[in-house]
Amino acid sequence: MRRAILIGFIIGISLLQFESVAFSQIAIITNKTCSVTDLSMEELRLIFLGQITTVRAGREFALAAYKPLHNLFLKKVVKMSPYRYRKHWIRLIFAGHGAAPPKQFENPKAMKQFVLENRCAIAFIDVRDVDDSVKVLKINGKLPSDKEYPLQ
Amino acid sequence: MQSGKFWFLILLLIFGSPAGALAQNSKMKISGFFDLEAEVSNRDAASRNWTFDQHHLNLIFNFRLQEKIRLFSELEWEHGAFLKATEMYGTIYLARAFFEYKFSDLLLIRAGKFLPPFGIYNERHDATPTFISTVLPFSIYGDHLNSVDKKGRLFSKFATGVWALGSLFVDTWQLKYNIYISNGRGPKPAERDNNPNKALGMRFVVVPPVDFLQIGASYYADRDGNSYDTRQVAIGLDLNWIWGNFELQSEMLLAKGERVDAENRPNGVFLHSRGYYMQGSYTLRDRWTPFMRLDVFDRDTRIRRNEEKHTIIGLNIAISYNVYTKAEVHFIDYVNPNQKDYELFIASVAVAF
Repeated sequence: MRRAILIGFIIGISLLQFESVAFSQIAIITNKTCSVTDLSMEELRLIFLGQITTVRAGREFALAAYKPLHNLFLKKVVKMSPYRYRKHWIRLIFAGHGAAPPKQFENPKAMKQFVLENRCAIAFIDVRDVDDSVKVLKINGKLPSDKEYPLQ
Repeated sequence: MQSGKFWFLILLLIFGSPAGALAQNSKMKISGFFDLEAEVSNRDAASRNWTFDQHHLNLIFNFRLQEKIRLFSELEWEHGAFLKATEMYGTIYLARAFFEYKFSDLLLIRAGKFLPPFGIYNERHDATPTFISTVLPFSIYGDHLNSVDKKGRLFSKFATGVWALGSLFVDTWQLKYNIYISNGRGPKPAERDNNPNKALGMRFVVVPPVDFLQIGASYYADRDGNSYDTRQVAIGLDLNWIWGNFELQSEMLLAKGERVDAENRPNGVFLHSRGYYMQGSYTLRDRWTPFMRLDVFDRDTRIRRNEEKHTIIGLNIAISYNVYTKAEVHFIDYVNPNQKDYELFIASVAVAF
């Protein structure tokens, strides 16, 4: 009996784990006052690589990363492993580059607070954690609710 | 006593000054790197002794005054620097200190002392945690005898002046540019230029719409005040391509340096030098990176059989994202049979913080 409960528990945890990975959808959010409304996948990639650092109006982006989705985001958007990504930012910093690497958050509330405090913060978060306090950006003209949203 | 004052000032700068207070408000960011090397070679009797070298401890201060204005500086302690009235070794110096005004990604102006962008590495030429090998490719970044037999790099390692840089996007291509003017080399390059001539340098990097491929070209020219004001010109070409776990990197340097007459006056006759390297590496499980480099330098391209060739085989292990250990063997071969070949083994640890 105990063994059956234990096996059931492990399977259940595994399924939950599977669900959290399989159905995680990434939303890109910013501060409601930021003028940006739409980014292409390539722009998003270059922003998180520190190659585009300012909004068209000249205001600097402040980057934030949601840790549980970090590896998935790097794979889908940046196309780099976490190791190469970190190394890329170390190279930029030591070369004298001014942009700061994404600030990492494990708590979605703290991350949304960061977005509220930084006028042009760009952050990625689980779509289920999005609320009215932040603005969701279109990616390639699509919102997370659209069928062809590229970060599904 | 002087040493005591120096350390007091450094500590004051880091912890006690208004800048230190601003660090708590995250306008000031401090980062840096450290490395320790151990090496042995069979070059001569002295080199056969194992030796440790606490090569670098660099502190980088990034202070954002306003959204568009930034101050950047880097202090370096090299070879376990120790300064005392009775005993001195190693060096401490200001590697960089510049002010930046950012109009946009298209145009940034930097002014002060900086590492001139030449080739893939000069902008971070001591930051060993970012290198695959412990040492930079000697053909491009090593010290060589120039046209008047003075030893040094074939372009300036440091520059004091003004630098414009930026990047622009054309369709799916990215172009990065750097153009700078500086005092050039001389006895006091960061303070007083010894000649009216100014050094001019530029670097362009093209990033085509191919994942992780970039191609660069660099140029540097000055009248070297440490070499009888002779004209020294260096041109570099480079390529870096990451394809999955495989990384290919290559650079080429073409340099020409003016010679002098019997009275040490520049005579309009030039020495032509050439260096190049190719480096391949493959990263396994984001941690283990075996690598190999073939690095060749020819001081005078008009003389046959005088190249120096370094073949390096090594392993870079990422202990974490910030800590790297490296072990490598260098095979140094001279085409000229009058020079003795030798081998060098280096192990090192490099930490980024």
